[in-house]
Amino acid sequence: MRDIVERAMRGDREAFGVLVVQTSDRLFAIAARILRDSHLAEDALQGALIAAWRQLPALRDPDRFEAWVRKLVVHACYAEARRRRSWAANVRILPVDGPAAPDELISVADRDALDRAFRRLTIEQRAVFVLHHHVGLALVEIAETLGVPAGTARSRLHYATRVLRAAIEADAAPVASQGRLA
Amino acid sequence: MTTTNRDFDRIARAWLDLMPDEAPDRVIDAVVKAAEATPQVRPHFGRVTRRFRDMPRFALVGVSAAVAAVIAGLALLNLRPTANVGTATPTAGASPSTIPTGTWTAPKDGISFYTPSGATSELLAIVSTGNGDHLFVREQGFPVDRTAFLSSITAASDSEVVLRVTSVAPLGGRGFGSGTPVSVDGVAFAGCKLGDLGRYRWVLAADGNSMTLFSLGDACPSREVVLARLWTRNPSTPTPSP
Repeated sequence: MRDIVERAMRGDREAFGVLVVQTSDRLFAIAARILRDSHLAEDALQGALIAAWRQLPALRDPDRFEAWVRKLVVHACYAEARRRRSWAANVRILPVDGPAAPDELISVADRDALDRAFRRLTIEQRAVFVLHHHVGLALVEIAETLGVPAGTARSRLHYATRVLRAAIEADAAPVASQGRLA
Repeated sequence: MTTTNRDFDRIARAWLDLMPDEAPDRVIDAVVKAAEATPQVRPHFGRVTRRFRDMPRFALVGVSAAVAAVIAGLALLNLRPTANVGTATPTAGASPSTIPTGTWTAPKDGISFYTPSGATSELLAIVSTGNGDHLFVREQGFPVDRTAFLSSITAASDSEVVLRVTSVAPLGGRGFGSGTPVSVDGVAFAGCKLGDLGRYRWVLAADGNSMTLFSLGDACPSREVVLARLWTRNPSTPTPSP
């Protein structure tokens, strides 16, 4: 892959096309999970990849291409979320074209509870949560990706986890359901 | 009902897996077309690198050797222990660390020590004494109080150290000490207990002016959120004593 990145850095558009094909699924998955909207995720991915093409000659380490472009995607998600002022209130339901979840792994109630709680998180907290639980990055790597201190990444993950876990637990408690749906 | 960490991780992953994983072809097509019509931004040093590419091979080898010699010299200067040479008295089972001594600063970055506001940055002091190497953190502008995380330093390898909390008493009054929880953006982290161990990797920048501490695990979460980040050398501040 290094060879392809170096060719793209020298302006080879064909090589860049190969990189786009190789990485776009993984990057789209990240954007879709952070933004919870496949249309916004498409816009973020497109913007990030075009920015990547323009800035590619400045990439210092070709072996870090995917980490670098992942950072661009996350920041494009931030920009996309902030550009849509009413974004949080108008989250569209994702089309059911993703992989089907085995029923035994997550209940419908848990899914709904997580959907609602996730919308209450800031875009920065969502990004940390997705990079940790979906991409599997360690906190130090997340901090590097987001350009924040490790302590900030840790606190965002801590808060997001607390909110989402509380949502699941509240959902499991029968008394709490009335107030939660108000 | 309580959800265990493992249960929560499993549920979270399953929930995240519900979302689509494939980028639509129209996005890929749009990016490829945009790239065809968009020029790349070349960094300013492009001309310099082109000049090197055009240089005869023997000249390039000479320049490379000179640059390598300068870098090696600088690295030796930066990595050489300074204040702790000959002064550290290793304790049993401990070896003197090679972590650079001196004072380092970092912005607060949302970190709160639950003390009155005022300080905008924190100072990390790494000092060498007759009892070995130690470090502590102090809020800038408050030279007497608000010192925390007094820890002994033991080398674990060339670039790794083990820190042991040697005092949790409020160092200087006002109630703040290593045992006080630190918060980051409003989220509190547990304070230190005496003897808490933490292992850190330190990476010194080539110019010696900044050092990144990476946590490899710390029993004291508060010390970890404060220490594990980029520190900038503070040559103007004399190394204080704890």
